[in-house]
Amino acid sequence: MYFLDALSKPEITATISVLIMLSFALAFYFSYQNNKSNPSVFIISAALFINFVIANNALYEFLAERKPDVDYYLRWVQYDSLTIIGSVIAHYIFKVKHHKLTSILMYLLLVNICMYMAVHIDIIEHGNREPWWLWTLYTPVINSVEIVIAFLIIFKSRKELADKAQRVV
Amino acid sequence: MLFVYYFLAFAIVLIIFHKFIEDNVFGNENNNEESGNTHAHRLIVDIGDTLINKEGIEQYKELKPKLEQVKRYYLNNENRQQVTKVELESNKPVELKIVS
Repeated sequence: MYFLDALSKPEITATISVLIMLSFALAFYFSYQNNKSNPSVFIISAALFINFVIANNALYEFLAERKPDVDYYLRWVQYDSLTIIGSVIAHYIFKVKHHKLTSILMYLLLVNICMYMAVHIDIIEHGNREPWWLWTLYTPVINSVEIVIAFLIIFKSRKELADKAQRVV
Repeated sequence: MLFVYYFLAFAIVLIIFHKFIEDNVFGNENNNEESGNTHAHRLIVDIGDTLINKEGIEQYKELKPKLEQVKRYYLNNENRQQVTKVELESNKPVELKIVS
């Protein structure tokens, strides 16, 4: 499991966080170009952009040292929950119907929330310091889910833009 | 940090019930004419898209079935309005005249 252990190194984790942050910025840009035909995906990509780029502040954590007394897992649970709540409320305010992809993305965020809660309960609540399969699974799962979310938005927006361009031609 | 658990519970409830709330609370609002969700509106938008994209005889051939549908829709609408007018006229009270 050398590959999975390598993923847990701080430098590699921080680099992956920055790459994920950039992919969410790209997803937001493409969904903004397609916002007239698919406003639902634009709303959730905006909420994810605010979460991953501004609120979560992956770039800041890459440059600065992690503070030992901050409960990061619960903080990430909070941010992801607020992303879901904000996205759904924005849909109701702007009277936009939820796209199928938006619902799928919210369920994927819920997977991440479950992982954060599991590790929080294990490490913070129970005080466990012995590594087990949950710790090995944690980093690949959350990073994969985030990458899948970003690429689903990018792929959907690019496909709809390409279809629109083809109809005009 | 107890508020985090409230956020989490609210987020889970919204994920499970967002479609249900959308259909029942906002469903009626989305079905009116102004939101452009009617069949006629969609036809008009399709016709408009076709007009932007192509020219000539091909355009007419493509448009013809859609134009027939729109014509039938508005004729039906007109007939419904005429029936309503006739019904209203027939419901007028009869004027009684004194016959000497």
